[in-house]
Amino acid sequence: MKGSNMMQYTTPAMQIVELHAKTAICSTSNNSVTWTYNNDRFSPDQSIGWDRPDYGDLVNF
Amino acid sequence: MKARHLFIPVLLLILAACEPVELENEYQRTLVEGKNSADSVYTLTVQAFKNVDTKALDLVNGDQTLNTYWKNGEKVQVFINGNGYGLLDVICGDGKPKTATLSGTITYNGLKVGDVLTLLIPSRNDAKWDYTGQNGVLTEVAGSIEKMFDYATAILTIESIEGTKVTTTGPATFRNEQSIYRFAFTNATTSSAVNVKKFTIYSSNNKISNSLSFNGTNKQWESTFGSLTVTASSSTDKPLYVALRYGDYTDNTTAREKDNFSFDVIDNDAALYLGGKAVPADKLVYGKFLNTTINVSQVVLNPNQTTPATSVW
Repeated sequence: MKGSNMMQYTTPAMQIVELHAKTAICSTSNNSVTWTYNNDRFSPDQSIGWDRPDYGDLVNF
Repeated sequence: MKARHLFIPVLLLILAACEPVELENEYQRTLVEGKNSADSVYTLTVQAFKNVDTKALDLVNGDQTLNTYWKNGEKVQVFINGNGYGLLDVICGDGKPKTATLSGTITYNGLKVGDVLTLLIPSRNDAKWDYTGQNGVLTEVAGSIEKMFDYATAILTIESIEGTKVTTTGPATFRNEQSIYRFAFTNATTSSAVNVKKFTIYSSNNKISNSLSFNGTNKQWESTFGSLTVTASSSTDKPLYVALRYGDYTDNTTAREKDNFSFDVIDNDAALYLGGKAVPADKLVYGKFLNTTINVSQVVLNPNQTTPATSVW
């Protein structure tokens, strides 16, 4: 009975972990970028917004 | 009431709302006139012209803050394993957008997992990543940092190729590959600003990047180091700007060693000045906007002297 309870609680937890892992891998903003590829021609997925950083405030030294 | 009588008041309201507009995208549109002719036919004239004020670097807040943004018409160079294979168009919104989409097609035979894609701005006609030949100007003019030396990259490694989909690891975020320094030169004797025509920076650790090339073995961009000379188009007593990359990204942390920069300066009368500056490690990392004054001393060579006797430290 105790072992059965463990299975009931463990299985959903494992599913959640796997779901998070897949979400991270599929993310285009933080972990990966998708390109369309066909016959040696490829181009970036235009739905992706490419960010550009500032240099910020002047620092004296 | 005739439909025409309903239409005219509505059109008048529309015209009243149309103040002359100044949009910040590539093309501005200005309402020139909306007039009511005798037969109640309204004429609307629209004039379009190219906005020449767009730029990718934006010095604001009384010259105290340096921002960047995308501009329409900008191009991104695509390198694969260090070789250039084409350009992508930057597509962005109006104003000063921080985010853009990239559009275009790159042709490359034999793309495989592990290949390194480098997206590089600004795109240069010579397709080089090079810091030599700077003129000390920040924006707008030919040869300025904005046009030639404000490098930002997105470096991506191909993780998988499945059917029509290529997946690369790495964020869709460009990073600045250097810092922007503003140097003012002051005569140590008179405390007045030196009228600078040209100056050269030397690193005691020999870590000033002149140019970069791709190391196919390490799959990294690596610098050739040396001194860096800035030549103003005309001499000036105003501060000059330099895009300076120190070391390479593998050691781009504040834990790197501090350095001593030395400077030789040529003024508008061809007089030579020498000076130096200790630079803390946290002022050598990339992506910063930095300012300092360099005190320099004029060097007078006697007829028997071939090198200056003055120490810069």
